[in-house]
Amino acid sequence: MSVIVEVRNLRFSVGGVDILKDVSFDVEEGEFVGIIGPNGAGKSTLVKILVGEIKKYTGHVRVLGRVGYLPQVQTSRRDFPMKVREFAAMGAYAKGRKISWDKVKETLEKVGLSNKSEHLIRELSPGEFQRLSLARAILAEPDVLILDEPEAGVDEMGRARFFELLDDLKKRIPHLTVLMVSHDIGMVFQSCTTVMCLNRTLHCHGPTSEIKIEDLKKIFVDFDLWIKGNRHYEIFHRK
Amino acid sequence: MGFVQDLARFEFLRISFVGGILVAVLAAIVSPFVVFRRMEFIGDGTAHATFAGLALAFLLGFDHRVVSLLTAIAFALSVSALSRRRVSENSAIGILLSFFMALGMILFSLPKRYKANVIGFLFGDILLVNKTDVWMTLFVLTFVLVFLIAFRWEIKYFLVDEEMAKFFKLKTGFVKVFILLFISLVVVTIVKVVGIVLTSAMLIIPGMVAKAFARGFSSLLLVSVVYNFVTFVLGFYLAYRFDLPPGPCIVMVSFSLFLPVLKFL
Ligand SMILES: Nc1ncnc2c1ncn2[C@@H]1O[C@H](COP(=O)(O)OP(=O)(O)OP(=O)(O)O)[C@@H](O)[C@H]1O
Ligand SMILES: [Mg+2]
Repeated sequence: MSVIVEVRNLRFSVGGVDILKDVSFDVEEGEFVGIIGPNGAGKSTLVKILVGEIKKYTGHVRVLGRVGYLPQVQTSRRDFPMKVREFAAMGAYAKGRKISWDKVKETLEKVGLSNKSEHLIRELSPGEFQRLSLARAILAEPDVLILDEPEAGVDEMGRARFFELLDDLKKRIPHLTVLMVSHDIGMVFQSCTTVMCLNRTLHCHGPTSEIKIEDLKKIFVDFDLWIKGNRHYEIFHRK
Repeated sequence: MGFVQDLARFEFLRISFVGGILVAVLAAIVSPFVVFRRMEFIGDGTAHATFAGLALAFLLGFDHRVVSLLTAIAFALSVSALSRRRVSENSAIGILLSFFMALGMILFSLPKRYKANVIGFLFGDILLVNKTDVWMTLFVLTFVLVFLIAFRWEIKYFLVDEEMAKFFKLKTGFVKVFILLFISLVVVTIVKVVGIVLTSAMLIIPGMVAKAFARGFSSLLLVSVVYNFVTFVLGFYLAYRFDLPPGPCIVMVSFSLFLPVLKFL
């Protein structure tokens, strides 16, 4: 397997304050990386650097191949009169100025929006819109799929479907690499092959099975409080 | 009744009627862009910028159409150059509007062979529209339509999600500059009909109406065009019928028809 994302000594600061510091890692082709960390940890900042939105960093960052991206903050104008399927096709259109509507239909089905493809985007709920944005990212047929909290606002069943969809996608396209920021730690530990714990710097990074509770305690102050009443306790209990 | 006969009889009336319709249609086509880019101010801005152009034209004795067009383009390019993440297009427009207007006023105050009718330009006079204007409008209209058809997806994606369109490397910079250029071209032609002060009505209202009812890009343009067409014809007729100034009549009609639409916004 070859390295598809390479980050060395990455540092990003605003007004003299380091938001990211000493971040180095490799992601190999086909990995499914879960990036976790508390609010304000710099996860979205890292993502923005990877997709090229932030350029004023120091260090070395290289992402090979096409990137599909689902940003945390939606920048679209929901009041613009555009059909759901047209919106989804944006990434596909960017590839070669033409759109395969069959593929669009298929992908919308996968995210559970097939019955809404002729609706206007303003007629979707925020959760439905999130699913649509995932469809758009997938339709760009990326080598690296970068998702910043794709599950935000999506109901629990929908989340299960998201992760199922990602698993399915990974099965069909084994070389697809996924980097996903998520606050759904249970899901991350279930689906991802690799976990990165980020809080201004990389606190731990490795195969999911090798991440220890102590690692998580280091980045999440309220970890004990969280684990007490959590449905995913078993996942950690096993270790 | 007499209106149709008079149209047939008087060439000047016919030319202003046809020219006015073309301008109304043109304004309607760019109106959705103005509304969705939240550049409601741009009509005003460009119109005021042409004031500087007019002053310059009279001072130097050049053709005012050409000079005001060049000023409008200079204005659009300055807006594009000044606006960025933390300077919205509206802020850029507001700042440049004052600058161009100030420039115009200084130029107009220079005591030279200036005898032009400033009021005519501030409020427009559709009856001064001539054949050259009609041809120019038709030319701009064709130009805009070709651009719209050729780049319709880029334009749609630019309007719906500029950031992601940029991420996907769609030609956003190109579309952005062209939209600004078109708006300036269109404003220069509208100014002749309704004048600097009333330009905004023709440029903002149809887009707002279209926003309320459209279910796609084509219908967005269609609703906008139909609205401006109807309000123009109605306003023009009322002006003829009651011997009132046409520009303000058109604005009155457009505004009155807009009020009930507010319910849908
Ligand atoms: N442009 C900026 N100027 C100043 N501070 C910034 C800027 N962008 C981000 N920050 C700061 O950087 C830190 C990291 O922000 P970031 O959005 O990357 O966090 P995050 O890990 O994605 O958090 P969340 O879980 O809430 O999405 C925050 O403390 C934020 O205030
Ligand atoms: Mg974030």
